Amino acid sequence: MNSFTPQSVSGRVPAGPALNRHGPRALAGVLLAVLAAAGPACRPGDSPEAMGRATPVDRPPRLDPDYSGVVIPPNIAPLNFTILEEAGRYGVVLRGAKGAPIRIRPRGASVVIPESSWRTLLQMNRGGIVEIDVYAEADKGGWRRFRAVTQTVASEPIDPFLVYRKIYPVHNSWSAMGLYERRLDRFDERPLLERECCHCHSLGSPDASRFSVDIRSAQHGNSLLLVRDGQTTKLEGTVGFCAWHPGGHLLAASFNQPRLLLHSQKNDMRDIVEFAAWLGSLAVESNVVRRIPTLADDTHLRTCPAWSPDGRHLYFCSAPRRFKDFAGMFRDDYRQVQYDLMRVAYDAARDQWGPPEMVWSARAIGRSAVQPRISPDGRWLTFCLCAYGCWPTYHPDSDLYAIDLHAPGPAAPRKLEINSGACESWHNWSSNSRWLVFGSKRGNPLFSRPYLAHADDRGVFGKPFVLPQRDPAHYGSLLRTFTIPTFATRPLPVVERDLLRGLASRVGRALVLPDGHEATHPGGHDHNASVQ
Amino acid sequence: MSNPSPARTGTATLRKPPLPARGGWSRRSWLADAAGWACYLGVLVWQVNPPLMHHGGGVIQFFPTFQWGGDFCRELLRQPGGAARYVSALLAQGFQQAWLGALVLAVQAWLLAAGTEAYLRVLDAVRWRWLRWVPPLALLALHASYTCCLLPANALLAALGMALLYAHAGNIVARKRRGFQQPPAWSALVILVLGGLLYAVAGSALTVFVALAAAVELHRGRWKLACLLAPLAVAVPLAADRMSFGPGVDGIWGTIGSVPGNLDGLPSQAKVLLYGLYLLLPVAGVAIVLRRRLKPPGQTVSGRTAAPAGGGGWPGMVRLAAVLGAMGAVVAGFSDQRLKALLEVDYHASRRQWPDVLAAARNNADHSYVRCAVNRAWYHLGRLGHELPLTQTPEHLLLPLGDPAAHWHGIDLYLDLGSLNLALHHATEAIAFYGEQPFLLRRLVLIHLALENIGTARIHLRALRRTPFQAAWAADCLRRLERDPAWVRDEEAARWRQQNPVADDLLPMPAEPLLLRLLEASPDNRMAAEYLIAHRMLARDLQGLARHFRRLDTMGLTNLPPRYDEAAVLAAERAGIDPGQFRPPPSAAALARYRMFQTAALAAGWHPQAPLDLLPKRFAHTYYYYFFSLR
Repeated sequence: MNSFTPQSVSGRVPAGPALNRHGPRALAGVLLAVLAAAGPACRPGDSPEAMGRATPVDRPPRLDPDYSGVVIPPNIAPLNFTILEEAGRYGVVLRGAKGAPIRIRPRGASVVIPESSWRTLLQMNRGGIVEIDVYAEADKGGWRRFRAVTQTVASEPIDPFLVYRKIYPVHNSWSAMGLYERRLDRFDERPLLERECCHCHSLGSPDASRFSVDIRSAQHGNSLLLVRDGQTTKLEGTVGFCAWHPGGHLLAASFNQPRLLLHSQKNDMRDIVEFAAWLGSLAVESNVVRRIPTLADDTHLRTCPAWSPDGRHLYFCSAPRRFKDFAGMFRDDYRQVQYDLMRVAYDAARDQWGPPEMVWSARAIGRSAVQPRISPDGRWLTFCLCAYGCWPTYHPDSDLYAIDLHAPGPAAPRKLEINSGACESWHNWSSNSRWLVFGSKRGNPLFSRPYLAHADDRGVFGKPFVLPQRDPAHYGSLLRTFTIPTFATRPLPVVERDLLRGLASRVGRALVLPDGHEATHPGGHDHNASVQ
Repeated sequence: MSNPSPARTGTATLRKPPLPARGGWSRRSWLADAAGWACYLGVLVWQVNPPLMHHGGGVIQFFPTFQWGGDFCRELLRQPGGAARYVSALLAQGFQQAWLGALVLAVQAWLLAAGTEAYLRVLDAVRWRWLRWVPPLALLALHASYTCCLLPANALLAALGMALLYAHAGNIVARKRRGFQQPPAWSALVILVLGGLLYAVAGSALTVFVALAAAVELHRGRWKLACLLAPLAVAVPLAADRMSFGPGVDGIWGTIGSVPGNLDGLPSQAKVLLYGLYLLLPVAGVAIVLRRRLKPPGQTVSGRTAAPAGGGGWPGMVRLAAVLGAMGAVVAGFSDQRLKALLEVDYHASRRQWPDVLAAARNNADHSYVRCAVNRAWYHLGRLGHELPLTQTPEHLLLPLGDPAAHWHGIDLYLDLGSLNLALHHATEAIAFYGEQPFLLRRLVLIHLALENIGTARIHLRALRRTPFQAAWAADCLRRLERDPAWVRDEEAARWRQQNPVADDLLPMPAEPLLLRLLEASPDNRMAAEYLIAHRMLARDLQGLARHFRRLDTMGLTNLPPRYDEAAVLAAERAGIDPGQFRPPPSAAALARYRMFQTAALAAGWHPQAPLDLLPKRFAHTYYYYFFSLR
């Protein structure tokens, strides 16, 4: 159905959320919806006849964000967008093979899709196609109809929650940041920790019943918050990256000595170099960190731990340790630090570790492989590949690669089709191994935005799309960058005050490290501070 | 307000005198009051100067920022007190204009004064209405010390307004239904509703509201109800907490006992003033009522005695003189001229008003950031070689790192020098300490445009477009970007691009290599050349001075400025450097001055640690004196 009818709904304001415990927001939404509905429903010139006579334009319309040709989950919030075509007025029709089309007549170029109609449309067309017709009226009358934009609705749902940090892209001073949980089928964003300096978080299970947050607090000191079944435990001390064993009893963690480098020429002038990095394991019932015995030498930097879904292998990144401090680092030494993908076997029943095994040597091709993640079905090992170093977020050349762990023969990484010319990093898999979330700097070299991409059973990815927002211009003026987006199947079982209470607790035990080992000591170039 | 029966309230012995018409205000007293408020406004405009507070100068952290649009509004409304925060943030943007900012502050103070008087009238304490001037004077003291207290003052205003609404709610019903006596249960319900609303709007100002309402009930003689109100201050936040809105049981005491807004980092004097402001009316209200109640029966209570017509017993002119005197005393006692100078210097420097920088710097000449700005001012006025202030260290030229304010001040310094990435570093760090201040966003726009990070610049421009008073500039830049997508037609950006170092080094670098890198990228970068010479002079490095002196060739000087001249003489005399190396060569006058300095120093028995007054004053500002002293 390609024509407009006077029954068009105004796309100016979405239907307000149902009244729930977030009373003020719900009331505001209802009020705005009533106000919007009170607006003019139909204007001269947009009659069905006029729209039916629209001149076809043989190209799709330019949209921001670009949601054309993407593969979307059946349970995603409306993909609101802005039409970038010059026109006095616009009309939009969303339709699928099944169900009633959604007709929107936005008052400007911003198209806000009603949430309930959108949900119905997606559910009815699961596994099918949704087409978007965009109409634009020129100043002197006469409508144009662009070629339809298509979106494929995947059969597999996406995990309904996404946890991420939002921070300013600062260099040393991490005073303004927050940890948030976003409901993916709506636009609700819940702050989990806004008033403290929260660093890397790690979810121990898809249902988020176990997770950890690393805290650097001026008021409460540095600590690791462990949350299990809604109970928060504080361990004083800092760790680097954490990975929960699928059994839930053990945490693998890296203990790093990262330092920030600033370039005088690069656009994102930040860079990270590690002086030390070792892997340890922490039994969650205790506060004692044990170094992984088969990785006990200090000749290598080892970081970014990630468990295989069966808990039998711990994947990590390893690079020869070339220098121990700035004094030992010559001019471009940091560019020579390149990490390989490795793993070590673990027998949970006997608590025994195997010898390290090379999974894939990135150094052999002069690159650095970091941030390994294994899909929950155990088939795909995805990682970032960049020129050097352990921090791909600051490297414009960082791309996402995947290794099929079920394929016979030596590991053969494949560059994923979801990469752009900009930096891709911070990726994570959904619980059904069909959706990947990752941070991308496409569009600007500074601010990372969360993108979602669908993978089919052969590991072929659909065109990724940016996490939709209520205001389609949201990212256009957002001065914060998203890091460590992580899926969850349920909301995190805590609210901000629980985490703050845990943080302020005085009964926290100190992490006990092996003799002669230091906790993570983040540091800047000009004064002590943490790194991103 | 309903008047309970004497039998119930126990006020049978008190004879209530008739209230004067409109509080006893005559036209003359109105004029006196208006004159007082006009002076208040004038003091705010000329003495406080709100744009200084808005600019912040690297001193005021987290001055409220504001953005039009639903995202910003939703973010604030998530917390109790979000509405007051939103309104305060919006009003704070008025500080960008002196008159508008002063008007915002004056109206706020006037509303507080009027609310205070109205509340005292509710308590039949007209005689105490001189107290109405206390909140405005306390606010003036805070403004004079450059403490932004819009949020606490607005929250207090909301609490006061709600207390007045509560006090008059019974009167409205009583007027419609004659003989209506407001039952305690009804009062409690009204308080609960108003308290809940106030908690959502103004957060912990709820405590003040409850105390004010309790004083009203005490005045009405309902002691039990007044006592029962105290738990309400706890109950409302706890109830909100059940809705995931409040502070939790642990944080309840911190919430109800605090002043809205972030007081971290405020001087203790400002905190005392704010808490005093919050305690004033509750304490005064309860004290007045208790004093009246505790008087023996039959004794007249002065607080209930109405002021005679004409206002408070004092003639209007005397009252005006008293108010003006109090204002003067507050300004004299609380204004910080050194802080003001620091703010003014940075305000003018950010607008490149160099003569004003030098004028403002006189009140705080020793401050390192003031010295840095003064050095820039002398350079831009072409006088660095003439006026190089010598009682400083090399760090005053290029600012030491490690301090949030250094990031603020470093932005323009390194933009001037042409090091875009160092300017970007300082601006990016400053955002973390100071928030999304328009000044920082504008600088980030300029830097990203010059670095050809057009996508990033657009994001900053769109953020600025949502900011009051900055939208026009941002929209203009966005329009220019449509016509010039790579921003190549802008002369300033072109100059910065040309000056920006080509080689990729790790920052920060020591001063000398950094300035040499800048000169390597752009040999005619005059500021880098002069700063290099000045840096070596301040470091007393005569060899380095001789090495870099030729950098001044590009300036086309016919005569060396006096301080450079003296430095060249010293290099020739003490380091044995051939004077021919300097172009133009050191003058005979500078050499003669050196000889005289030597003679005078010998005659006075002067040595490097000796006080300055041992030498004739004419040498005090010479490079000779700097070089030989204070090592």
